[in-house]
Amino acid sequence: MGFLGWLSGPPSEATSKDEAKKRLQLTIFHDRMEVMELPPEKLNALRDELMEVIAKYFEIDLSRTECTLQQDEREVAFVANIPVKKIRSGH
Amino acid sequence: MPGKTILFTSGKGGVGKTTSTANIAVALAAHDPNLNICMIDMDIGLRNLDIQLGLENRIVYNLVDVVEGTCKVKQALVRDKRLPNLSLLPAAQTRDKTAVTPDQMVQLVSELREMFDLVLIDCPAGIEQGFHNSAAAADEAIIISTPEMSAVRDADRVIGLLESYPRKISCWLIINRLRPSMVKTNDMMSVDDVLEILGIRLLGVVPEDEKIIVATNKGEPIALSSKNGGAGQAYRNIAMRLTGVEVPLLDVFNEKQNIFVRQLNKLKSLIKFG
Repeated sequence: MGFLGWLSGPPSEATSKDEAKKRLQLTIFHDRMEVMELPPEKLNALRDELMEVIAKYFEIDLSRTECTLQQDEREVAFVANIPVKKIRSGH
Repeated sequence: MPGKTILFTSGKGGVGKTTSTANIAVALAAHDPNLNICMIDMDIGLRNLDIQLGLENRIVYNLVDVVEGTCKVKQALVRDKRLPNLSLLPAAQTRDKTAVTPDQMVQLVSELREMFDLVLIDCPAGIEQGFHNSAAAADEAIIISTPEMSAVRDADRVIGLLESYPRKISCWLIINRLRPSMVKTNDMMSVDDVLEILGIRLLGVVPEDEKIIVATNKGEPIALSSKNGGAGQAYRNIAMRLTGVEVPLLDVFNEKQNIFVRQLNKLKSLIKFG
């Protein structure tokens, strides 16, 4: 961008900075997962085991269950959203 | 009281670790003549801190000589020609990173802590043995990153590695070589963008400055030779913050206007001569 481009101000479409930031956030997230030795397969295994335990106590809607890792600053949280249909009797 | 040890690191090469170490060291030493400072160049095999400081002709012994017992620490230290309270322990140029171990570094730095108030360690690029040798004895770390993707990614990796050390090393961030004009046009990540991704405390922002190259040519760190503004001022501000003084961030965007005016004047003078 030359001297005139600088005067005319930022362009209206998604900027190269936005693209860099988005790509970087995703890359770093994966880097951190890899360093933590938690590849996707492991995450899926964790979800399945977790569901087995929870299913002992609740009747859950597996199709609407969501398990994700979310990052906040330098911490990663495991977040599970598990809709409960019914509490199983006997518990 | 034994001195504090600060590590300058980045992961990626060429982002300004050595320049930052040299400039912050001279700014601190010039600010307080009673503060005894030692810099260690840990880039064994590729030493450069001596060049940045204009001390390349004064080296007799080096860090590896000290570790191997060829000489005493005091014999290897090179005193700065401008600032008597600043010394450099140069890296060996003919060996490699495996010439010393983290344990030897802890030993060496504990000896230096008794002699100096502050020990500044210039880490080599990479995350291999040179990094671990450098981090072994650090109390605090200053992470240098430019606002570019690869530099930020590598900085994140290095922060993660330092966090995994059993000893708590607190991390600071310096965003180096920021180009205000590109941030303005949204073609470069801003200070806030980088902070949002890395999530550590900001120590300072250094604008891209051509005068750095001239200063290095002369072996005179810009923090000593420059007047107001630019990278020199940014480094002096960072040094003040390290001493605990609160200094507002350098207004790099306002400076851009000055550069703009300067460019315009340059253009005018060209037309005059043309």
